[in-house]
Amino acid sequence: MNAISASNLCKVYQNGRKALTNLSIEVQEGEIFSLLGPNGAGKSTLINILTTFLQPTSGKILIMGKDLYAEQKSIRSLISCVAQNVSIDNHLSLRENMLFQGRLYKLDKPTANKRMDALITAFDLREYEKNKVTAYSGGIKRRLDIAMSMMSYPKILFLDEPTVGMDIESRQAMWDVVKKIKSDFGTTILLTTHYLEEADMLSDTVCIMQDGHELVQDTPQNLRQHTGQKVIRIDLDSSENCQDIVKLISDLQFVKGIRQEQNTLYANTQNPMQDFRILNQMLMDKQTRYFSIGVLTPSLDDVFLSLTQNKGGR
Amino acid sequence: MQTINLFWRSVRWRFQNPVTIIMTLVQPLIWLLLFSTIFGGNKAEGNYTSFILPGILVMSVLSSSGVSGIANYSLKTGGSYYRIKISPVKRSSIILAHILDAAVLSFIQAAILIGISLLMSVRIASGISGVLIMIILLFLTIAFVSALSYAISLTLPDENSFIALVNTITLPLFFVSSALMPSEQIPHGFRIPVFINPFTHVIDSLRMLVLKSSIDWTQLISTVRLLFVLCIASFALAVHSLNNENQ
Repeated sequence: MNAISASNLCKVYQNGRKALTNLSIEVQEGEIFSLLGPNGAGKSTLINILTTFLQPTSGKILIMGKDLYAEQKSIRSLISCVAQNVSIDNHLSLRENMLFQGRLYKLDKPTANKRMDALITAFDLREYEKNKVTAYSGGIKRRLDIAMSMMSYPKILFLDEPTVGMDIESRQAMWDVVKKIKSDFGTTILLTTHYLEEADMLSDTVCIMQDGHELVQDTPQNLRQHTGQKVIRIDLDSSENCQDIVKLISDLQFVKGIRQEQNTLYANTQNPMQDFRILNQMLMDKQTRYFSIGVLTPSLDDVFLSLTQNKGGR
Repeated sequence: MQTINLFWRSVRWRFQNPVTIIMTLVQPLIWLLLFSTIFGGNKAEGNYTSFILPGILVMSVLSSSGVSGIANYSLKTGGSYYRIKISPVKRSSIILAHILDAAVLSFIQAAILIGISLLMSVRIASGISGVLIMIILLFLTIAFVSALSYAISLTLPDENSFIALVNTITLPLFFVSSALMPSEQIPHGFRIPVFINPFTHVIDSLRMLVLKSSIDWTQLISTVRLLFVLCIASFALAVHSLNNENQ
């Protein structure tokens, strides 16, 4: 069974802004599913809709096989979400925060206490139990936030940009937490991120979004293969006018997209091994000042950009 | 149980931030002392503080429960508002917990105001039963005002517009009522707005309980009935606003 299945989802805000257009996704039970996309792609809107906070303008959503509109209340007890803003109550202690959350989901006292202890151990929060919540670092607060959201043992956990603004060490600790939730609790996880590395490392499935629409949904491996065509890299001399060259190259028939980083150009083409000779010849004919040209295997950034950029975009 | 859970959380916050109790108490307290001192001498019969107390109590409810909705704005900047909203908690429990929280604040203030009045030799003429009825009347007033305040906070975009609206409403409601003078002595032109103002009837009933030893049940029941209808309406409005907040 799919944990989440959304089809033809549209959301137009009251001010007329279109956040989602005909978006469809499918999330398998027990997997880590990442929504990847630039800011404004509609990731948070989608999470808000899937967590019953926001109503979509149109479309159909099934959560654990239940219709989101018809069975809103029973769906609410199956899910929980860690929002971008830390949601812990500073006036309550660590344990009080967790017990409060447990009571929201109608857990009886023994169950709540048992789960709380298990989660405190699982998320290494024991040593912070005595401290005031206000004194916690950002990373610990977020870990407590997630532990609280796990009190109800949700079938699906939504994580909205769980590692945004964290240092490397905290991010790695967070990745361990996410993996642990999947392995120890069997929870389906849907997370949003704009770190490719994170999506690649954690996810079973990645969905790349742009302008409120899904571009592709696949495993990270397939995704790399799917878009894993090589790119042509050209290093121009700093005295060269990059804009003119970019225009020249992007006007070529076989060039599907081009990206510029300072004096380096990356061109997506249909057949890089062949096209690179043509490009090379053309640059020589035009007496362009460049000092290297070559064919590269794309990084995940290139995959992402090749999908999210239109031809000529940069 | 969920209402109690949410209420417990608010009360914990309230008692860790006692300044919020004092802030809304200052104004009614100043008015109580000011009016008692200034007008006390002019009143030939009885104790003017006894006369003014019901109006001041209603004013204190208006100012504390009236702004109670403002908490939503700060809750929304964190994630806890969202966390509670996506939980299976009944929307009516959220509103009920809000009303109870406002009631704690308002009753603490009422107790302080009544305590000070007792020191100024005010006596509740209707006795213990009168005090109990006063508590019921005040609770219904708190429920009506705080649920309305909650609904308004979900409609207006920010604290500034919220405060501006609440201030614009509450002060005229206080002045265009029987808070400062008996209904019978109000000039003719003013009678209609004063009569339409529901708080006039609350103040009149409270005043009757403070000043008279025999209870006028007809007046009392009609006030309770009025408050009851207003409470149901504002409660329904608050639940509706909460349900339809994120379209």
